[in-house]
Amino acid sequence: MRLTGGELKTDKNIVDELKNRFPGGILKVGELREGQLLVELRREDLPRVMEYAHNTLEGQFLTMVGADYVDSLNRFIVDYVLGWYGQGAVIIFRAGVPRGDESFPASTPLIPVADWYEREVKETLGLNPVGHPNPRKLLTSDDWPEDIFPTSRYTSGSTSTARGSRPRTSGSASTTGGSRRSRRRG
Amino acid sequence: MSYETIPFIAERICGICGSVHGEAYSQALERAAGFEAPERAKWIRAMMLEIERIHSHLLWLGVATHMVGFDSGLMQFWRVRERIMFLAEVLTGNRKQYGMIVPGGVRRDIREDKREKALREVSEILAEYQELLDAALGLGTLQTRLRGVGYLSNEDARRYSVMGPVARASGVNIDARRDYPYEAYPHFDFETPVQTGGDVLARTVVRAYDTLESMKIVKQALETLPDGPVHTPIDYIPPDVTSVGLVEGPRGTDVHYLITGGEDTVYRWRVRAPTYANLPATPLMLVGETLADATVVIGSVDPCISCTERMMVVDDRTGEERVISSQGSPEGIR
Repeated sequence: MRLTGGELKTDKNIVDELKNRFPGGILKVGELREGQLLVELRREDLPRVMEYAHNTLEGQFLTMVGADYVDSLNRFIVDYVLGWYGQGAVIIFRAGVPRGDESFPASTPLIPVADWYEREVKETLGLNPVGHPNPRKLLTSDDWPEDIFPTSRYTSGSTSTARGSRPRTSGSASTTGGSRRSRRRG
Repeated sequence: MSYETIPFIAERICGICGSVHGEAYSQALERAAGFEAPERAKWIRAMMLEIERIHSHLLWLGVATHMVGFDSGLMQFWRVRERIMFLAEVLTGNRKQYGMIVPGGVRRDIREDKREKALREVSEILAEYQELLDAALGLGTLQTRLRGVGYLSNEDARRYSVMGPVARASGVNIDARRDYPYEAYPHFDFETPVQTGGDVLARTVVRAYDTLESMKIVKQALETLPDGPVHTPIDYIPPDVTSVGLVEGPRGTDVHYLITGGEDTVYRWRVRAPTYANLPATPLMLVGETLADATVVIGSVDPCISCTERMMVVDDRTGEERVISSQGSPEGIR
């Protein structure tokens, strides 16, 4: 059942190993539904934690998602989802990307599997993976405007087909409950 | 869009594995809601997923044998596949896009007379397929043609986190049905075929035996189908919950990532179909191969190519690259 020989790991001691390896790097560990874990990281630690989790701890890279899910800290999120099939574990590694400095260090130089995912986040959400070796377009057509991001509610394009509820980056950056509700209507 | 209308889109992401996407989405949503589908629905869901796997693998086996010039293989595998399509029609009313899996359970029940008919049918198909499998895989010419072609090492399979039969043919023993048990799978007795060859032959063997196991699962599901309701409405979906649905599709693990929104909406939904993981590893399989083998090597990933339709031309003398888009002129192609 296990991927490789050696000690059988549970999701909890995967997190313990990460904590030992990166003291101070793991900001918070939370349990989601049915044992899925959410591990919050500092943005700058993403590549080396991903390298360790994927290459050394042998987690399967399942997906990577960027979202304009702006929380009380006024930041976007990037989530890397890794799975340990042998232990039935799923861990979501989350880092915040502050609005106004929309970039995060790319993990692709260390784990090539992240290549397409990080390009996709750049292209569809406008978060720049700094250090990505091949940051070319992946999804949108060649004549797609560079400043419009299809999955971002904060797209800043001047030719944007602004819907009534879509906030502009130049406007209020408030993330109070009220503005969040209006955002969701979009 | 409300959470209930999304399965219509989810199921149409792929023409081959629609139920896989419907199930992965429903699984992520039900997980976020802390909801469990009724027992009978779990059995029917597993049955739909396996019927899909069988017809997908038989389709692939037909195409792969055709690619290497073994056309009677194509005809024989597709002959068996046609019976599976008929079986799907008996159970759901559709040959494809069953529209069965929705959050809360399944859309329609399976009547007793249809269950009996399907059981008879699947027992016959199983015997027929077993015979075909022995005959086709026993062919020395087919083995010689596929052995050593399109090699992907175990190390590279891990490095690129490839999924499904591509991973299992390179010795990576992963199967979401077994490792992340969902629906009725813990109640079924099945094996996960694993090979270590890493070549097209290994991928063919994995898919061929996978099909056999799937037929056994469908048979078990029909035999042990429990009574009861097939759908229960989900009362409440809490907002701001992140959840991941994992379903073993024919091409590998399908991953649906979800953040729930308020008022019956989904805030973020990101689908990672397995080919997105498998395709980046394909160039490694092609290194050093002849052009004649390229079709079967690319085909051996069973790529769902619909989202990768643009083409790039690289001039090997100058290194110049040009992207040919759907509107682009074909003049640059030589």
